[in-house]
Parts: sequence; C-alpha cells; structure tokens
Amino acid sequence: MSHSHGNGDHAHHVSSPFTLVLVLVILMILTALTFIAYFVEIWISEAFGVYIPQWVNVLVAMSIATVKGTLVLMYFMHLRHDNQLNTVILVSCVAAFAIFLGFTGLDLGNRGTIFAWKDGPIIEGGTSVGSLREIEVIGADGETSVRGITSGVSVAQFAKDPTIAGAVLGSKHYEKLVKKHDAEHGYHDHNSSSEHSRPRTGLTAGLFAAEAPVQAGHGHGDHGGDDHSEAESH
Amino acid sequence: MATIDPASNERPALAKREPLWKTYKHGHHWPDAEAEFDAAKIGMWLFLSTEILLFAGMFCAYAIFRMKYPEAFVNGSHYLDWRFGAINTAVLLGSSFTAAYCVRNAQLNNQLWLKINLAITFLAGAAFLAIKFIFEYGPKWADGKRPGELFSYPFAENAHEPIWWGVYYGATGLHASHVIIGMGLFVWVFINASRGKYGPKHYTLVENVALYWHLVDLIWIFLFPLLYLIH
Repeated sequence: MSHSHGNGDHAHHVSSPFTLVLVLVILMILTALTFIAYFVEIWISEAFGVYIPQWVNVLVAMSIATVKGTLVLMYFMHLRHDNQLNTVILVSCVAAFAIFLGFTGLDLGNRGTIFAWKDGPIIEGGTSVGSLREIEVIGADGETSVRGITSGVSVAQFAKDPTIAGAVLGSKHYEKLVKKHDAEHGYHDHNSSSEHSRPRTGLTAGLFAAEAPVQAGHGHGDHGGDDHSEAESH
Repeated sequence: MATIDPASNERPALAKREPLWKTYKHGHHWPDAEAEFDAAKIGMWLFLSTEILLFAGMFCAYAIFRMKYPEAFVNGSHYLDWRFGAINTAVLLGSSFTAAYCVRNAQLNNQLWLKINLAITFLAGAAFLAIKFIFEYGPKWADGKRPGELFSYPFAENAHEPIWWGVYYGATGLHASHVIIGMGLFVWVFINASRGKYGPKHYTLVENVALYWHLVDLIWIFLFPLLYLIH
C-alpha cells in the first residue's frame, strides 16, 4: 500500500462489480443450501426412520455459515486487500471466542463425571476424603481384599496405613522407604495422624524433631509469650 | 481577501465551490490522510472485535441452554417460520452487497449511486425490522410466547420453553438493536454524502459504517440457522 502525502491519491483497492455480484450470488446459493440441507435431514430421518443427532444439524449449518462469513469478511469487508493488521485483530478475536465457547463446552460436557465425585463429603481444604480411589490389598494371610473410598479418611492418611502403603508401593520398597525416612529424619511415628498435622508457614527448623516438636506458629524457644506455649515447652 | 460589496446583487459563487471531500484536511496530528484512514479503520476493527465478543455471550448462552434442554430448543424452533428467516437473510445479504457498493461508489466519486445505495441499505434495514416486528415478535408476544417469567403460552410442550424464548428474544433483540443503530449511521452518512463529504480522497466514514453493517450481516448468518433450522 503506497503512502500518499497531502493531496496525493489513495491506492486503495476498489472492488470490481463482478466480484461483488459474484460474492452476493454465492452467498444466496449457500443460504439456499443451508435450507436444503435442513429439509434433506428431515426427509432422511422421516423416510428411513433414522435418528440424526443434533450435532449433525449444527455442524452442517455452521460449516456453511463459516464459508459465508469468510466470503463477507474477505470481499465485502475488504480483508483480502486490506492492512493485514485488521485480519490479525479479527483472528485474535475469533480465538478468544473459541476459548470462551470451548471451555464452556468442556465444563458442561463433563459435569456428569464430576457429579459422582461431588456427591461425597466436602472437607474444607480439599483432603479428598470422598475420593473414589480403590486398591487391592493382599493381607498377611494372603487373602485379597479391596479397600475403597479411602475408608472415610483423607488420601494422605489413607496412604499412611502400612497395609495400604505396602500394597501400593510393594512391601520391600515400603520397608526401604521407612528406613530411609527414619535415617534422614530420625523420627517416624507410625501412629501420628496426617489429619492433625501442624499448621506451619515456610520451612520450620526442627518441625519433625522427635524431642520437643515445635509448636504451631512458634519458633524454637523464642518469643515464648502466652501461657499455652510455656506450659507445653516444660 | 474578498470583500462584499453591499451595492452588488451578485451572489457569492457557491456553485463553483470545490466539493467537501476535495478540500478535506486530515487531522493535524497525522502525517498524512493515509495514516488517518488506516488508524480509523484499525480502530473500527478493534470495535468490531468487541462487538463479536458481545455476541459471543449470546452464542454461549445459546450453547449452554441447548446442551441442557435440547428438546425445548427443537420445540421452540418449530414455532418459528423458516420463511421469514429466509426472507430476512436475503434482505440482509442484499443490503450488505449495497453497503459494499457504497464504498465503491465513494471511491469512484459516483455521488448519485452512493446516495442511492445508502438509501437502499437503509430501507433494507427497515424491511428487516418490519418483518421481524410485524410477523414475528408481535404475533408471538401476543400468543404468550415470551421469555422467562413473562411466558403465558397455554400449549407449551416442554417445561423449558420460556428459556428458549429468552435466548430467542435476547439474541435477535441484541441483533435488531444493532440493525437500528446501523440504520441511524446510514442516515448520518447519507446526510454527509448529500453535502458532498465523500469522494475518492476521503470516505473513511462510508467504509467504517459499511464495516459495521457487514458485521450485523455476519452475526445474522450464524444466528438464523441456529434459531430457525433446528429439528
């Protein structure tokens, strides 16, 4: 595109009558085709007793509409001979449109799979107590049993159960993990509960120390203010 | 500098004045008329994008409710007469053609046909609205085929038909409001065109108003099969 100065003339594309008329004729034919497709669908389903799913109707109509829309954009709205930035703007907009509709569709289309999970109890903080996780457990007596729905505890607590852990990870690997954990942390209380884990902010030195574990919200031996923490530390 | 002689009966030579499009000066903050034209058009495309996203809300509402209540949409669509949809589609496509021709007429300084095509486009918009209101909105509203709580049609076959009418009136109403705005814009351009404001050197508004009208057409291209052609 040439840049004119002051009184210079524009070098803009002028649509030829032939192009404009041809585009109009094609648009009219495609409109007729949309209706023909509609009546052909009805005829097929009635003459042959076939059930045609809704998406066929939508897909056919929207495909023709997309061709028509593209013709309008390219020739009536001059995008074909225009500053390409305008096309970039339009395509970005259509992409946003697709994300909007696409994610809404994903959401609605998958409500069915999520509702079963949502039926379970909802615990604040999301501990997956209602998880549908089921595993086969081979007991010490060699009997196989299925433990499921995390037996009413959180997933973390469920995994803590030595029977479960042994079954999931393999008993040998589990034994190794226990030894490694004891060696690294020097502290392993099999009976502690992950349901009552201490709230903490950031990395707290000595949090897992066997003797005198750090109290929630307090550092090691500093700013011992309130009576409660004093009583605990003694 | 010319002075007016009160004794003279001679009228100033208005007829010989250059047409406004020839004397048009671009904004002083633009390097040239081309830059001004391009910027105005980019601005228009940005605006059209927001318009598409506005209608995306309607299309999304349509998708949600059709996925949830497909039977209500089949029922609802059968209340519409496809022939009115077909006529209105042809009217809008034709008006889009004349709108595109307006730009060509301005570019080639064909002042008479510029005005004729502007008028035809305006009248096509009026015809579209007339068909919509006289043959569609009016009788349907009178029968009680109304959206949501206003629904009072006594022969409904599906509990969710009020939702269908909500989507129908919402989508077509938003579209019709754009037709009304577009018609107003064409009146504005027509008045300017009669004053000789548009020609080969300057036709920014003709171009942008035509773009707006094409967008209205574009939305309808997608809207009408979704509303009229469900079975």
